[in-house]
Amino acid sequence: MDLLQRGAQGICAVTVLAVLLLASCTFKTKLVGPYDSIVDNNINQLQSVTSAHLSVIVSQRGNGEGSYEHLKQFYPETHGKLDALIVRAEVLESGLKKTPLVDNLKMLQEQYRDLETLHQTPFNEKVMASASEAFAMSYRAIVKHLVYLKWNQQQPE
Amino acid sequence: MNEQHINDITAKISEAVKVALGDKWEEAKVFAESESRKFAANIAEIALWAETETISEEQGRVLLRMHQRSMQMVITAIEGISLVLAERAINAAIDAVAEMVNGLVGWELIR
Repeated sequence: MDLLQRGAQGICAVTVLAVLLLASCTFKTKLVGPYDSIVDNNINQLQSVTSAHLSVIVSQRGNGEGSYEHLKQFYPETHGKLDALIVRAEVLESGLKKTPLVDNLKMLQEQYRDLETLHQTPFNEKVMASASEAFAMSYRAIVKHLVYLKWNQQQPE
Repeated sequence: MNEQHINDITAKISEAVKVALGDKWEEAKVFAESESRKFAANIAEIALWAETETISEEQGRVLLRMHQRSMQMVITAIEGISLVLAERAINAAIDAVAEMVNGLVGWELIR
């Protein structure tokens, strides 16, 4: 995969460059923000709440307790939680050139807008299953990134 | 500093990077490949549903956007993971050769 090859080449290139610049680089290199357990816990909670929300929609086939009218409060509440997480991630990644955690949280927020749109269309089990799979992939991406940040923090300096 | 010193520095850096990263890069590769396969399967499924009118046009468009965004999030996460690994590799490389380089130049070039 091109992306992976470029990533591996990038790591090697950055390492060599850093060593070549030893004379002017006497501090620890900082490319990523710290691991934050509050973000991690909130992401786990949000994933669990989202999974329950999708289960209710499917089990009720979009009617009654699974209808948009009944569950619409879920969306602004989730946006509020994500807004708070984005602010926290912005602080964690402040001063860095790349902000993958912030970027991913913002994209996750967009996905909730899409889910809200789908929830207002006539119920379709396949659609909800596919949306659920999209969320699962998004959460796996965020969690995987957090796992690496945690691993990085646990390594001896 | 002679050629042997440069070879020694290179060897120390390679070993330090290998130890610092362990199997973490391989793990990230497996993750990216597995998610790419899932993404392809999901897109194919949506295309089939759209073709057979199992889902509406609007549902198809929104689902496609959701899956594209999920894949974009996987790529962004891989980018974040690459940065984590790069940071570890650079710092491990510098630590590994600090003593040797400082000894060769005769003063504390690397702190």
